[in-house]
Amino acid sequence: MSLSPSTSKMLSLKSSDGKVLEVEEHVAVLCETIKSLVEDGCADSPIPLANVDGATLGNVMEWCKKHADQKASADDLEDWDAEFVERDQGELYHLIMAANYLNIKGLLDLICQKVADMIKGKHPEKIREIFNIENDFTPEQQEQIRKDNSWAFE
Amino acid sequence: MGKWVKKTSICAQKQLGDGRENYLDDWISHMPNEILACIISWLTIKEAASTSVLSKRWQYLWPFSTGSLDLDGSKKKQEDPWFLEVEQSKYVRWVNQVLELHQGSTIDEFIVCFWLDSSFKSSIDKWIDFSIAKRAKRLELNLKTYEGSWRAPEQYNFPHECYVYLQSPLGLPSIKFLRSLSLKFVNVTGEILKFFLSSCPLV
Repeated sequence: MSLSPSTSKMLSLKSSDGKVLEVEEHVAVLCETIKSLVEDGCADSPIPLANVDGATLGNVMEWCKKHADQKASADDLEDWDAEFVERDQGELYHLIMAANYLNIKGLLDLICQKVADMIKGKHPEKIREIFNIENDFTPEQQEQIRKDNSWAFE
Repeated sequence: MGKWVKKTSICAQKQLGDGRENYLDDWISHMPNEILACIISWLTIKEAASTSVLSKRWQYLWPFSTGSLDLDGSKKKQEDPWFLEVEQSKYVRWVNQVLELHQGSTIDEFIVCFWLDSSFKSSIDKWIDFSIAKRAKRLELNLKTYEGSWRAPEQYNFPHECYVYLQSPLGLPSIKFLRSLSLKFVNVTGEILKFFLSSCPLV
């Protein structure tokens, strides 16, 4: 199947909150989930995306559009991606869930790396604070884990 | 995977409400296992393992990392012949422990770096097997030699059994993932090197 930009038709995507987005097919098929629908010939009516809200869908398609652009160089994409992930945790959460649901490996990896960067080099107490993680260990359990994995805390 | 996502997104929506204002409620711990594994795969294995202490949700996640298994033990240790044997056994125990716990189906890289000689052959052989089984893209084996050692260390030989396995129909597919191979202070025959060069997409 040829999906080159010149022959690309438009696809309608419908978000969970009822917003409809018109997207070029060669951009939308970066989502494996949508690609399968197109390949199976099931992409005629607006495609309902029950797990993605309108704002997030807009962000996801912005990423897909940039990455479908064959003129973008690797350096250009890297800089663009670095700016793209500068978002609050709420947006990161919705982007991860959407990338997972729509099966976009590149975007999922990008956001996961961003979240990992927020963890990197930080003390466990600080990580709990950043993400509001509740420590449900007793002090004794915590001590035991530190002992079992002592090499990780050196 | 679909089932996981559905379940956790309902769960997270409860936490998050329908707006975005309450996202500071521990959203990250409500992520599906696969996504948390993807996140910790971007950390070093030490950083990943240190997340075990965050909460019960995180305790057993780190072995699912598919990122880098950098087990370089040489950075912190001083070259001191008196403690060498103790440190060697400690290092080998550590690597064996990490490998035993590891659950990820693949790994990006596997790095072993310590003062070890052929007396640790049985363990090192297993480490190479592990790296192949996990389809590591990069394998580095740096078995440093020890200048001040009281006995002449016998350099480790790349295992012939492994070479035979890699040539077999079972072994050959797993080596196709290897992009970078670094063997330092490891005896390796020209025949084996030639085999690697001709069979892997080394870059």
